[in-house]
Amino acid sequence: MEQERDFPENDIPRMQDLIKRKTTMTDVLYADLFQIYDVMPSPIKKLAKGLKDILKGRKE
Amino acid sequence: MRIIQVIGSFSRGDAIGNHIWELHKKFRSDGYTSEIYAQYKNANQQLDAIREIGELKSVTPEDVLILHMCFGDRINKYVLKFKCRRIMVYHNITPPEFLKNYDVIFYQNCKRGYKQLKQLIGKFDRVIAMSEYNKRELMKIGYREPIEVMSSYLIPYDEYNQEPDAEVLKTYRDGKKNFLFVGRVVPNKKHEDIIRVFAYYQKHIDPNVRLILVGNTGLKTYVDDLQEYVRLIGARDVIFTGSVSFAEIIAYYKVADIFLCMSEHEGFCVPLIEAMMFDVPIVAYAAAAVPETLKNVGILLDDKDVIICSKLIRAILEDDKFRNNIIVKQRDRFSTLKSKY
Repeated sequence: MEQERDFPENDIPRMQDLIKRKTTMTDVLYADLFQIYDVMPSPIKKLAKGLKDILKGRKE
Repeated sequence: MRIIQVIGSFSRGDAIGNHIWELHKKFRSDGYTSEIYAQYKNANQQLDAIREIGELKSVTPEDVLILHMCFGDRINKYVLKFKCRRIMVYHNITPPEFLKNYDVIFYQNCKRGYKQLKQLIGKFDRVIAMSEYNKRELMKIGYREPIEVMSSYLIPYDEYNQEPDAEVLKTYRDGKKNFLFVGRVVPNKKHEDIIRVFAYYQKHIDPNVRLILVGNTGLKTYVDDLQEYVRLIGARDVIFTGSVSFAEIIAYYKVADIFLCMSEHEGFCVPLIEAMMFDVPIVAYAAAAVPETLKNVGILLDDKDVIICSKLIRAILEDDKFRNNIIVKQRDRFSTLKSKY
């Protein structure tokens, strides 16, 4: 009993009970699109293309 | 005949990078021409020996190409164009569901990895799994060809003899008991469960403890949540080191009093071997390949009950005989693993 008293009830909540992941609707949409189509959604494609253009010095 | 190792992303210092490098050294010392190609390599490291995959030319049927499969990458299918003997080494891929809420691109790449894994069935002359757990996963996916198991990673043991980082030793040898975990800060490794056990222990058992989480903190969404969690539950002395030098890693093991692993997905888990090497008693959740790597040494947990875990930790930290028994068994396991290679 003495030893049990050393270990009180666990009062540390789990992370998922304290923090709701700050997933945006866009994140969810992207994740779902990946799941359904296994393709890069077009906004990411556009971003990647823009970045590529900048790197090549051809940004319009 | 050349031996050509190929991987999507190469980083010296992580388990797979070290394994590839040790194989490379072994092939060369055995008189073979050995080359390593990657799609990406760590820009911060001196990796002149690692070539870009586009440079891989003039492959002959006598050559042996070894694909290290651990992530979704176009390179995994690109290697099929080479008409040579092909071997796949499967290191495991993080199940994408762990990542869905944290990084959609990371999630997508892991998902792609599993898709490619299915597409590669029957395309290799030999398949090697880096644990029995990985072999079972390949068979579940549909691999019917004979799969060999390599039961440990090649680890550059000599490098662990170097001097530990003096600053880390000085900072953390201050009388506090140090809980340690080593591994990338990613959701499948469940750092939040380590933090929860630590917070309980610090609040109710002994305030004089510290948690050191060594590993890359690149996945910011997850790291932000963990730091917020630490703040909300009022835990103190939780250190996220980020990526560290090899001398620093050695120093963290030297100052550690306990190695606590709550990971829910590991293809092998080399840090468990490192903890054995440095006589750090291990408490680990029995998931994925962890029980196989430990093989009845350390303390394996069937569930994540915080109180049971804390009782065990206190016994290890306060009962010399109990701790020494664990360490002796860990040494035996380490010797077995080391003697295999």
